[in-house]
Amino acid sequence: MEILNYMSGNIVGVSEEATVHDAVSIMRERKIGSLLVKNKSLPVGIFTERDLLNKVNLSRISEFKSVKIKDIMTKGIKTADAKDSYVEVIGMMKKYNIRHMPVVLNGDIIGIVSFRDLLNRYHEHLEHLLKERESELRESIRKIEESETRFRMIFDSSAVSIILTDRKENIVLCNPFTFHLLGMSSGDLLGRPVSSLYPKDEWKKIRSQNIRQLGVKHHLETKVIDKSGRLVDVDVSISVLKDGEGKIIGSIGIMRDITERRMAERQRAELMRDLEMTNKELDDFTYIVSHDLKEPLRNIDAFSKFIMSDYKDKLTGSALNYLERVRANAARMFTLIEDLLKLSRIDRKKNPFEKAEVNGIIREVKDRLEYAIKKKKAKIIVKGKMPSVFCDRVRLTEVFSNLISNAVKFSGNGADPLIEIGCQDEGDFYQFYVKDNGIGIDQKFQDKIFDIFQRLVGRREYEGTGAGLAIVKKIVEMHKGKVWVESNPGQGSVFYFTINKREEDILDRKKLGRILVEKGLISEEDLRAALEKQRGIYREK
Amino acid sequence: MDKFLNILLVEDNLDSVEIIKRVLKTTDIPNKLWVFQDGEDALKFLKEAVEKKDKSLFPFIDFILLDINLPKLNGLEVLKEIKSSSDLKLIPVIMLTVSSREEDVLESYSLGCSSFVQKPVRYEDFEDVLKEIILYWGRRNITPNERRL
Repeated sequence: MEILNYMSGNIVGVSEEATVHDAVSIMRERKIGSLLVKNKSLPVGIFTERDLLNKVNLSRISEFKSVKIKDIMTKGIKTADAKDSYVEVIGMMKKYNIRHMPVVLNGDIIGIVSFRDLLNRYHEHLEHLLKERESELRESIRKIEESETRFRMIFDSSAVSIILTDRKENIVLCNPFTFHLLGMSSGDLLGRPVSSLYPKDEWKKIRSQNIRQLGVKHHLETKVIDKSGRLVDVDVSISVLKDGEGKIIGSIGIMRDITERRMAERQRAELMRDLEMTNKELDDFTYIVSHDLKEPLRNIDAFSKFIMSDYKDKLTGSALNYLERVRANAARMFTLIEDLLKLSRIDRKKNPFEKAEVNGIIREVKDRLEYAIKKKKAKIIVKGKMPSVFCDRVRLTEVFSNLISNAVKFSGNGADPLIEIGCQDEGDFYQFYVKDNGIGIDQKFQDKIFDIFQRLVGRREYEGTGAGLAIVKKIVEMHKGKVWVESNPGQGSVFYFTINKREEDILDRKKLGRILVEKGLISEEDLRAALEKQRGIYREK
Repeated sequence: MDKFLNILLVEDNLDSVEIIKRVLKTTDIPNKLWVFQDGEDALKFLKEAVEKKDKSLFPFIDFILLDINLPKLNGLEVLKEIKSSSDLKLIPVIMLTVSSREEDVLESYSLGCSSFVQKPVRYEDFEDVLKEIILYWGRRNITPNERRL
């Protein structure tokens, strides 16, 4: 701050010949503390009350009227520049031991500053500074308190356990969840070595992690002992606390209770084992069924044939006809068994998923069906470009094989059968179609043909494809797609199916039990009960 | 003169045995069918025959028709035994079964069977298949049999 702002512009000059009495009178009248003493209008000194006190013997008041101020004034003039800062001016006054200084601007005296004024001003300034600091401090404290409250809240309401230890690894602070987790009070915990929370070998494991050097270690899966001695599965993160010089002063441990997660993992593993066992049993079962049912059927067929040929002369027409029917039924049953086996195998026998060229698949199917295609004089055309898709190649081949062989089989006896295969990119999935100009399918059967159980019931009405389309449906669903048909009797059929493009969607295959629950076919309780019962059975074994 | 065939059949279903016998009787190729209803008996017979060098059993078995689903030792176990015996391993084993399970096919071949044939359900087809087997393994195919013994 420039001195200009603190000076008094009220300068009163007085002749050096004036008496002390006159000078004092003027100062009292004008209420000022100093006079500029002049000799013929040139400043030669300053007269102040201090000069008066220092140099006049007050007891001799008569001297007031006889002593001239030139005899007791401060001689010589030290001036301050108007641009000087008040700190500089105070410095000068101290240096020369003077209390007043005229202020000069461009060679003219424009005012006087006194030491007292400056000191007052300085005090004011200091006071102001102090107040500023004080409010800053208060604000900082408020912020710290706010932050402290916030952290305290986090600390108190946290659903993880937070434990602070000192340098000697004794517990110095823990949050309420810790009490909950361990069933202990602060009295149980504070001051106690943190190592005592862990079983010995677990503590050894933690010790071996070199956390002091690393500074921090996340997600150590370990166990702690609660008040009742029960082991609790926890996930611990530990941070080492250091002071400014890098010396270790303690640690913070954060523990999460993962008992439930562990339990879920164990349950899942158990469920998987159960399911594997179920699959194995199912596999054995279907194998036995396939063998034990097929063999007698073959024998029924053979012995019927033997009767027909060995006793040909003795059998009437209807007897031969009945035996033919026995054989036809045996054949049909055989096909049914095969279909059921195929269907049940789709779920159990898992092939690896891979990128496969659909063109190659279609070529393979055409080769395989060559005989039937030639026999029907069918023409197969592939429209446009076929993509390569992420799929179970063996199964997708089955889909095309079933659809194309159906198209050939049901081409009717009319004009030359024409089968068209195509594909459309629908963004998230590919939509394939197999179109024929065959006999077509009545509207009312269009949903049923994909359903194995419906088919078994309704076979008189719809002489069909075996489980072929049910297999198609299952495989398509395995690829997270849909299958449907558009058809009118006599006007051919178009079978559509989609294959999901996204690998992760396809691979996220759910377990059968879960799917049944989701479809509302069984309840959650039923599934659990069934699995529980199964476990019981295995246990008994 | 055409060679006389010794065929060993391991099949537990007697009706099936009956049917196979009937087919073999009607072929032009002279043969004798040795039938065993379980794997253990079949193996015992084969091993004893080798040990005794029983002249009455020579020329030895030309090929074996082996079912998979058998009591006691199943077909795959019998196959394993045969193929791990230095005396028996050269005899062609034809798996003849209702199964077409991929696992069975793979396992049979990795254990060293010579052929895997699924029994067709229709008698006429089965007859054809059996006759093809006998013609192929009994006539067309050269087995190491004669040279070995």
